[in-house]
Amino acid sequence: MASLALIGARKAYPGGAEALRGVDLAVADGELMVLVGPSGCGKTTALRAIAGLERLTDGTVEIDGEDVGALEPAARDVAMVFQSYALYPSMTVARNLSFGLRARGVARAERDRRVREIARLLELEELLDRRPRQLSGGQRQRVAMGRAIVREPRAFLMDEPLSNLDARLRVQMRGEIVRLQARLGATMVYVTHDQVEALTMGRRVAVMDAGRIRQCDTPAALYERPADTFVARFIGSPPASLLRGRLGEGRDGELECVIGGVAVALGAGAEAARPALRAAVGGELVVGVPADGFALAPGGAAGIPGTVALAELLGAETLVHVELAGAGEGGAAATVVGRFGRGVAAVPGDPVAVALVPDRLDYFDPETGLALDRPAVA
Amino acid sequence: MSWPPDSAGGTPEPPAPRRRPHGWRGALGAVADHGFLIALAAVCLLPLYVMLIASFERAADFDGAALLPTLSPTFENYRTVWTELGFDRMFVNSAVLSLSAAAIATALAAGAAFGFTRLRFAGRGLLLAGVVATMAIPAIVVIVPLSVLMTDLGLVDRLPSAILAEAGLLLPFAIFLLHTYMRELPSELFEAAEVDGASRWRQFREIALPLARPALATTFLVSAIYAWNDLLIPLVLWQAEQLTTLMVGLALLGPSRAGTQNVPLLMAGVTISILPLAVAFAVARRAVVRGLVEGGER
Repeated sequence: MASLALIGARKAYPGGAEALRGVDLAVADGELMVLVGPSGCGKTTALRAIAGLERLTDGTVEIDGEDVGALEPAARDVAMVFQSYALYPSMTVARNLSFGLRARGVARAERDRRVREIARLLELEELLDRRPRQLSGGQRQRVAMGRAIVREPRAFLMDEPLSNLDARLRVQMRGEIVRLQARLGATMVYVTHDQVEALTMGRRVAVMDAGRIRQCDTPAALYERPADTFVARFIGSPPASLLRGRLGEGRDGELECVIGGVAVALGAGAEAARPALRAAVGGELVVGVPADGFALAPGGAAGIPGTVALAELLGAETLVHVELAGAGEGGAAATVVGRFGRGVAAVPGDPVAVALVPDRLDYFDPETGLALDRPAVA
Repeated sequence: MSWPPDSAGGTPEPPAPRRRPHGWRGALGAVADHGFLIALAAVCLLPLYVMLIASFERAADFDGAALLPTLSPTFENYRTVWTELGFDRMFVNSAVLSLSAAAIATALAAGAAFGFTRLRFAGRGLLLAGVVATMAIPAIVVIVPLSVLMTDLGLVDRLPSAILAEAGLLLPFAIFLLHTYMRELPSELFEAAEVDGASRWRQFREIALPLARPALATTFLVSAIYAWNDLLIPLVLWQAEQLTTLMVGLALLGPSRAGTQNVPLLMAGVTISILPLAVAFAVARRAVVRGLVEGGER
């Protein structure tokens, strides 16, 4: 296996559209790196650039420290699993699996041995004589994985390989891919638009938007210390809600944030964790409230007054949407979404008080959207 | 259209694309539709029918207006054209010309169409447009220079002349047809093959060709029919008697030759000439449809 890197990667298309605007990404040998972002953010382009299916306008692609920008896809010796699986329709499963080996001139005996081994590993033995159209979605997905693994490439590139599966199979395959990756010790770049998939699979996750990497970090760090408002709004299920506040000092000199006309004391811990907050006193800021970042109290209790807009029961938990007057940009109303137990008392239209948990809040510059303190090393 | 179609019918069905109203209005509609189609088929088949019954009549009995089969049919006309007038040899010549030209055109067009879809090179669009534009040039325009060229090459009255000329004239259409099909093949298949380390040749041979089977069959069939029916090229380039094709032979059977026209004899010749087309079409159409069904799952 090998390490991978994109350095200052740019990709512009004729007509001016830019898919990558300076992407730096380093994937260590044996690491599972997930690229996540909304559609059109450039994640698939980045993957295709590593595979050699796209030529960068600027920047370099390195495999094991070697610049492979000029090499054809075949010479890069990476394997790719496509969203559509791209199984060769006219070939049997066995021939699909051995295609890459035949193309690379591997001797027949060795080919057969490896195909048998992969078929056993992925439980495809019964399917070897079938054609792709005779397989279920999950089986096709396994064949596509097998076709990548059998070549023993230097790295695996996965382009949303689970997005065509139903929800249950997706969860199951997610676990299988992670186990397989660990077992093979494979370097893997895994592209998905599903942040749940990203958080559950990746050792590290790179969040992309508009051709740039917004943050590349462990799943926990992405959730707990998002680098900017985009990451805060993208990661988490539900993602963090963004409120507007004005930072000030209370009578005892402690920091407080006025949100929706209510002063919320941030506590000593907030300033210790984010020294930059002190410099922002007197200014507006964006407050990120994660789904577990506030408690609900009956209307009239201490907290920011609001109205329940929606309560969604999801089985074990309930998502409660609370509308807060004056907590949004320019004094508009804003909505916070919180996750509570199934017994939470929240009926749409009810007045409630939102008690923010200062330790769980994030603070962003309203102009740049960046976190006021970039997180310390996670 | 009335919906729901049958409220008393129990479980509701999704609306079918063409559901006929029930009752006498529906029946009347069905009769009208079928009547129209039967009339259309009759109009199309009438000439073939007249040809067939005329081909079994004796020249002396033929009065040119019969719509009923003769009571004393004869195979004499078929025997005469097949053995005495040399249609047996012409049949072979036509088969050689149409099958070879169609095979050459289809094979070359498959490669060209793959190149136009999968290779990126400067002027690709212009070149393809140029190739397609040549479809508009009728054979009659190029026949003189073609004839001069073949004479200079010393190929007139030799097998390759008409075969190559016919294949060349079929090529733009064949490229167009195959390109239209190959363009729709998912590019991810070829990208996967590229990452897998497959050469262009292997991609063409192992992925594009098997997937393009229905289009290859269609291209081959249409090309073969065109070449089979062509008069001009073999007339000019295969002038030797042993190279006469069926179409040339039929033209020579016309009234100009003997002064009087033996219509039943001519009809027997025409029947022989269209029989293989009818058979080929019936057989290959099935293959094309089967290919389309298999190719549909990608």
